[in-house]
Amino acid sequence: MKRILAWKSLVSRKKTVILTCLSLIVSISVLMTVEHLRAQAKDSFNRTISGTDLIVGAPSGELNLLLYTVFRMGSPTNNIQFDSLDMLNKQKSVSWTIPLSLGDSHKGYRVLGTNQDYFEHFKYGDKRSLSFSEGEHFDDLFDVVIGAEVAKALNYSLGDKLVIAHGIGSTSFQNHDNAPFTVAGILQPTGTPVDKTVHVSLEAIEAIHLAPAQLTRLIEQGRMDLLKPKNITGVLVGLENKFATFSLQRMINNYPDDRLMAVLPGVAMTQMWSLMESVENLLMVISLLVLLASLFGLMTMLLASMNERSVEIAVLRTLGASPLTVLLLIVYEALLITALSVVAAYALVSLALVSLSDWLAQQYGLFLSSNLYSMNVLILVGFIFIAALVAAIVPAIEAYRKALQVQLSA
Amino acid sequence: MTTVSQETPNAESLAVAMRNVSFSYPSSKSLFSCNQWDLAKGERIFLHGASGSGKSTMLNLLAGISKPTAGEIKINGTHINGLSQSKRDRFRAQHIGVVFQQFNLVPYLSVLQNVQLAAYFAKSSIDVMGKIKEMLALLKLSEAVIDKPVSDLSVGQRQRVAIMRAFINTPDLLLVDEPTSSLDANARDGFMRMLMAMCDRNNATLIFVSHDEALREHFSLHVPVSSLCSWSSNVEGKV
Repeated sequence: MKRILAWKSLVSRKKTVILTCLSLIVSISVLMTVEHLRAQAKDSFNRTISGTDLIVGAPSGELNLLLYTVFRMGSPTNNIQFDSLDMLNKQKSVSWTIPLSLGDSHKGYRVLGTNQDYFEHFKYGDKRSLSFSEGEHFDDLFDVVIGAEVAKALNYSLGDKLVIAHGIGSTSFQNHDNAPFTVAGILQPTGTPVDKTVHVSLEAIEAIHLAPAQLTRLIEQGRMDLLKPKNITGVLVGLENKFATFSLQRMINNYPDDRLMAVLPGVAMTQMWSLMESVENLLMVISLLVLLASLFGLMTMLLASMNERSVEIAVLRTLGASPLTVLLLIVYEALLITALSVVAAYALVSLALVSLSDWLAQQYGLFLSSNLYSMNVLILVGFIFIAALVAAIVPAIEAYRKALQVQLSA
Repeated sequence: MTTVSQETPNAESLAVAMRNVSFSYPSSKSLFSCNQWDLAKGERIFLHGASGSGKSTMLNLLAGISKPTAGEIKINGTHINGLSQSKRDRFRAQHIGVVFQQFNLVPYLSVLQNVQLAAYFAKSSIDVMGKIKEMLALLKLSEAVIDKPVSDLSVGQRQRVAIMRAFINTPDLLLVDEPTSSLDANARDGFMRMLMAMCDRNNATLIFVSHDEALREHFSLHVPVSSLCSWSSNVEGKV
């Protein structure tokens, strides 16, 4: 009966209730969206690389090394010797290595020089391997494998020719026109920086930096062995035994024949994410303030209704409702409004995610799950209900006070 | 039987017994005092008096909405001001029916829900639907009205729903507060007939409060409130 009473009471004041609900729906939607984006960004961030135990490069700081080797962001400050890769491969504890050579670009997309091990050992997400949607990895010196986003954005298909530019800007005045590449493979989308990468062989990186005549001569003489790189930017390392991680890291950091630095990806990722925490917290605080404003609206609406409801409260009291029952009725109404708003906001955000996910992926490279449900969202909903309960206390106490003062009048 | 004397009648036969009751509103320095008043079960009494004579205060005390500052009020033998707030509320729901001046039905509820509400607060185990149907026939209301919102009803229908709500828990005592002030003479007589018939049927004691002297013909007992209780100083504020 209390449920019917609360519901019918709300329906009888539907205009103000709908406006209050709309205000709550907007604020709860903002809060849920911010939380979902934060969780998805973190998930996407952590999905970028998996199964790699160490990242090795020139000493330049853990974050910098992580940024340019994994996220293709920033510029490598220095290179390491190719011989260091051989040294790593000779270590008993090392299972595999992936050499990385960065520094060139194609129409704003980073070019990565690597070898076949990249396609075999690189993992992302839940240790998922790279796979091809079309073609295969590079066989020929001037073969190129492109990420899904590069193919889509530049409308490339197998067999298309492309020219790599020196440097990493979107516009370069120094194109390696003498060495056009042919698209040999297109990777499946991964939702990671791999999608935005143009992959070529390490030898190809060497080749495009030779003088045109010198390159032609080498190709004619078949002296491809002379294209062996002397320097690379970094190495991703997978270990046979995880227990060897720290001893190998120490050995690399103290390697006497080259200036090397080894970082643990997990540690560097955590360090990097902690830098973003302030932005994350700021967004959350703004969202909470919006929710607070809406809850004040709810409180005002319930308080404002007290005068028009004094007769109703008097009737309920006369029929035997205790002041506590009247108080609980107001709290129940507040929770009912909140529940309706939470359900509507959840549906709204889910609908928006379902309908906008393709567009967000295409326009901004944001791969968002349309499943809003998570433990954090559940905790958030719990918090919203507690906040609504607190907001309802003032009007509920006012109703309680009115209920105590009720008089029959003759 | 109504009395203002000091003689003590058989307690079991009394619907109302007031002894040395005094009450004052928090915002007022005036004191409302009733020395002794007994009303026998099944009686119907017409309490009248001018504005400010204490009719409302009397009703609030009898309904257990206001609690006297001293003295004792017994309804059907239960010392109601000795009960806790929640027990007093429950007692009111179970044993006292109230009909208001404007009938005061909850406007957004249907006829059925308005009546069910009274049964709900009384935590009554009666067959509410059965009793409603029985009363609909007695009050000459069609069954079609029970699902209608009360805001769609005529004044005549609303007064009958108010009677139905007051009687759903078969109250021992019925408090009626100026119910005919907005009715014409015909409607007023019709209302009084229905009310008396329902009281007969339920064997309820009736305390009818009004300043309309024309209604006294329906009652064998008519008492001015001022002869039962009085204010100890100038009457002011809410009385």
